[in-house]
Amino acid sequence: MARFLLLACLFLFLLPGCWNKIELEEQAHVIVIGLDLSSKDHLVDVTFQIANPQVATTQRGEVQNEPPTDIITLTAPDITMAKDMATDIVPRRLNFSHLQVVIASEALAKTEMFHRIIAAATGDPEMRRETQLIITKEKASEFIHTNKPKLETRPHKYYSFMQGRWKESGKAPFSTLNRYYERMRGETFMAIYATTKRDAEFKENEDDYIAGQVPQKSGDPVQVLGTALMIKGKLVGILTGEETRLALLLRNKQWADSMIFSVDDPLHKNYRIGLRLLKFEATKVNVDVKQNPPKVHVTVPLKAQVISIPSLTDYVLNLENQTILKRSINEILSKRAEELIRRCQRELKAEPFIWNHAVRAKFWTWNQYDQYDWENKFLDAEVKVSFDVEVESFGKQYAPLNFEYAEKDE
Amino acid sequence: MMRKISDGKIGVREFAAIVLFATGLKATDTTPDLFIFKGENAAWIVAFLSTLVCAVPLAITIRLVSKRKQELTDVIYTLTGKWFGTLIMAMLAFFVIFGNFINSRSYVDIINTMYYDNTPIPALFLLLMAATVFVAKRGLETIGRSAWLIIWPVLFSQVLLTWFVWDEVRWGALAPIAGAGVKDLISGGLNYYSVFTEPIVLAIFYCNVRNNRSFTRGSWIGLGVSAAWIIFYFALYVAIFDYPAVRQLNYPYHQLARMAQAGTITHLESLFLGFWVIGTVIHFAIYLYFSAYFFAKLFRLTEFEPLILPLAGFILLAGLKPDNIITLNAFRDTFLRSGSVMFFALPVLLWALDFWKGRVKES
Repeated sequence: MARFLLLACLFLFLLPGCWNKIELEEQAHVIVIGLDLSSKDHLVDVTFQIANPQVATTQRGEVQNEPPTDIITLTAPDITMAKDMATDIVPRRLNFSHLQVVIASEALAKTEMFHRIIAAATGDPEMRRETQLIITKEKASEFIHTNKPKLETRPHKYYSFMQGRWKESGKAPFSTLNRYYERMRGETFMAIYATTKRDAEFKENEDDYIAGQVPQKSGDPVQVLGTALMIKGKLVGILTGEETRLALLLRNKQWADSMIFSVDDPLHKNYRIGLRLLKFEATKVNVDVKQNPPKVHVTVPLKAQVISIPSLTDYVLNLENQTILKRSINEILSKRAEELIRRCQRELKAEPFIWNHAVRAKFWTWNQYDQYDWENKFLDAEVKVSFDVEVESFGKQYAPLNFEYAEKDE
Repeated sequence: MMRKISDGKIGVREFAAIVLFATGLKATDTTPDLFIFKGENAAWIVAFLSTLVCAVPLAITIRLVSKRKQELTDVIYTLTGKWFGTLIMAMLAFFVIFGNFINSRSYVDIINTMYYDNTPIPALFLLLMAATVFVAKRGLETIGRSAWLIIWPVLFSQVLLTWFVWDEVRWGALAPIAGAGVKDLISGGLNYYSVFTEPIVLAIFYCNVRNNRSFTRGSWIGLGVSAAWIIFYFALYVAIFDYPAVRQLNYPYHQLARMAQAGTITHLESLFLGFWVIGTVIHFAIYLYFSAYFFAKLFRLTEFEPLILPLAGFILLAGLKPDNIITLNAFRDTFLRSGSVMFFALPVLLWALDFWKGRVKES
């Protein structure tokens, strides 16, 4: 027993971490950092959203008058300096180790200041590579102030839940700082696009929106949908939710677990068919670099589950219709994907599909690959996309309930 | 009462574990940087070639020591004579001690930069050296046993880490397969293979290993597993951080540990730090132990264990001298290049002498 106590005492000296000792209570965990252009040159407005750790613990009762988070904005040369400036205001020591998202405004992302700030921050050991990167339509500080989700009091929970949804639906990309650093050679980086501004539009295709356009009545203020494309740290354009999904599907590896998609009903053009698309296999990308312009052939193997047929046509038991449906899904997806690629080549001049990995495999050395200059070659490439969809299941009914059937049966 | 140093003999398990900790742990320090600078995204091929190159002098060394039933330093003295032998030993001792201080400073810098940024470097260095002396003082048998004891937890932690970062892996990043070009890869393999020379140096413990078979097998198993560990991690770093971004990382292993994610649980690096620090202590205990051994052999001292403490003090003082790790890395580059020449030339020279003397005897 005495030995055990001695050992326990020893740990008291071993575990505090020398000079790095810090009491839990003395820390202020920054969950969100917002970055905005400042009115002054070479400075940025840095917004910190600091979590109140006492909220949502057993101490909740003691702090009923405290808000769940504190938000401050400082004008500073970079994030680290802003962190230091915050010590003049926040009584606790600011800590980035639980930082979940870095939010930058579209205006900042269009300037090279964005990359300078992000790159400078990587030196800070507290910055972690799995931090998410979000580009907002409005000012980041405005976004942070407006983002008060009703069901999630604590901001870190909000972002970690949302991250799960994005991964699942594929309507927003998986954008971490690590991914951003990977695309340093002029490759296209896909950042999450979000806004609290509303600019509602009605579209037939339910995922052909970007954030802010989704017609919504009441509910949380933030919409996260679509992609901000960035090349060499600069914003070049926005993809809609559907384009984001297609771009993810065209990548060799993708993140979306299952995405709900809708296509035109091939027999009743006024209606759409709801599908759940599952991607179990990798997309095959074949780039013929010997030809100029290069020829790219992409095959996307998918499994589809039909989840809704509002036209009430029998696509299930009628095998002829099944074939029509399958062919039509393939055609529609290929057509939309090719449209997206054309948009990327002509309008955005960006290649977000990471086909450069397939191109890299065609070369022996980095030198040869660098000289080939894929990012430019892509702009004129002849791309052919073929989707290979297998309709896997039709839900739990043989056919949609239909009044015609009811009449026939009688 | 203190135990007599190198009293008992060690078996194949302990010896292999010692080789592994002396060599394999380099997958986790600043060694990848050197290889990535040289081979770009094909750093793992450079490491592979280095292993192949290293197998030649190692095979010669193993043959020599097991044929003559003498440990390496005795082989050097008997074959090259007193004066020339002393010269070679001086070079080796310098090399080993120099390597020891460069490496220990770089490990301290890792701990300082990545984990304990407010703690002064001298304090961390002192703690590391204290722990190292504590283990090294207890002799080869204890080092071997503790190495064997923790080899499984450490290897398990590596498997766990790989698993936790698997989601981020893109093997496509390894293309173009030849990276910097075939010429650079081969020159890298030849220049930097001295990263793998610990098994050769550890031939000085030939007489402390139970038998010839244990020694030979221990050396090869140790080298093989270390090489596999290093090659796999070099490839993993590129697959996760992608080239050229991986070039900017000082300590890729520790960045990797920060990215590890078990389901929704993040911030796991302290778990891996624990295993890594234990491995580090064993690594430097081995280094300190054979540094002292070389030093004693150079000056023909019969006892070498009293040298461990002063040597640790010297390494501590020398290690605190350079301003920062970048100057050290430049040193290390030259150091490894010259080491590569030396560790190839030496076994070949010894072998030639052995061959020649044998023939003289016969005739």
